[in-house]
Amino acid sequence: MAPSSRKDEAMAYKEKGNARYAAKDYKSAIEFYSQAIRCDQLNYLLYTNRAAANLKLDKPKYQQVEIDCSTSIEIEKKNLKAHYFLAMALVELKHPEWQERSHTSAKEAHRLCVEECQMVPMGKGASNIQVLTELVLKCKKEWWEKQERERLKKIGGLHAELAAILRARKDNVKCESEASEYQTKIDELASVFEMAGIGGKDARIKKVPDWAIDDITFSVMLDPVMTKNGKSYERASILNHLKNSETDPLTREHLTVRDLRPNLDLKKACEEFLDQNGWAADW
Amino acid sequence: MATTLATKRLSKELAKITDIMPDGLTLVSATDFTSWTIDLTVLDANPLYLNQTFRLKFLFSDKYPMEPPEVVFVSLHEPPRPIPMHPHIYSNGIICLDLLGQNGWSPVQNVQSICVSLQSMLTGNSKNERPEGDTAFVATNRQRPRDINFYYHDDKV
Repeated sequence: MAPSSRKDEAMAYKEKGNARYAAKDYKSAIEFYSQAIRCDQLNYLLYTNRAAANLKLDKPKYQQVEIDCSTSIEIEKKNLKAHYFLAMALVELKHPEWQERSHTSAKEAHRLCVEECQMVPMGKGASNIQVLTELVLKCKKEWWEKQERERLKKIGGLHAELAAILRARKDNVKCESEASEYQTKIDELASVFEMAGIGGKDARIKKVPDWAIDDITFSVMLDPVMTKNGKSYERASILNHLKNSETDPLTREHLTVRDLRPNLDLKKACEEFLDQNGWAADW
Repeated sequence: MATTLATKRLSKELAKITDIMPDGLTLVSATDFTSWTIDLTVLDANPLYLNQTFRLKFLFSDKYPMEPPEVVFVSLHEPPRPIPMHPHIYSNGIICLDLLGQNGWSPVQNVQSICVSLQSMLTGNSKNERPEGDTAFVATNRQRPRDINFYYHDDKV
């Protein structure tokens, strides 16, 4: 068969799949999408459609979603849906090494969505950006937690090693006063490591500075944009508000999407804050 | 329960007001993220509200904070919680304040800022009266407060 008719055949299967998907019959939809892929292996949309259906199953097949989205991205990099579904699947798969991957995918999906919002200010992108913002923050937190666990493990090992050296010296000394000197050092060492955030509870103070907080969601900002009066909000929040009412939330002056400007330095500052305090990404 | 924007934001507000609440405000109950009650007293010595405590009831929809919460005064015998006398507060507790309407609302407002606005609305009042047409309104109104299109005739009060 000529390649073009194979493509047509794939499109016919895709349409059938879409109809089953709309009817919430995800199992049949998956079968049709699979047949479509057999006819046309280079159409990246077929893979994301199958991923969407797999995510909707009563018991979602995250493994399959991961494979399909990766294939889809290989064919087409600028692929919002594939990055979005991939990040969702990676979060659910809870693979010990994939936190960075899901964070990267979620961020890429968010970036593509922002691009889309800039082209069509109040289009589909505006309704997706909220979900994507939350997903990025969630992935950020999980990634940070993983790094934090590793850091604590390392630092905990160091603490144990140093304490063991001090204890060994203490056991070797002759007189009582020297022994108590070493005991003091062991105690001091423990308190120093506790201040560094290990040894039971997190000893560091958990406080989010006001400049990092979006006044609409009260979350830390990921992608702050500034209004005409210099106040910044999370992009997703202010877009959501402007859908309701084209007013500045603070002054009630007329405000539209076109008046918003990204606040790049604040974005960097928030990023830096979250790198140090990943727990704050999703509190 | 799915964590919607509303529950996320309300849980953060709750954490903050459980920590510190401005003078004259006491959180009475906030068992879920649909309805909270808060007791309010007026801070200055306005003779109209001297030694009185009022109870506010907040109802949140899942569109909060994109849409305003429904806020009314509720009356109670024990402990005594009357409806404050004010030309913008009906005797059934419904409050006529532009901030609480669809057009006056802004998502940067929050439970605490609403309470503080109501406090100052009472502080600034010297008229011991109900809104015009109170009896008729209370007898006939079946609309929910947020659906009523108040005519904000006098912003000075």
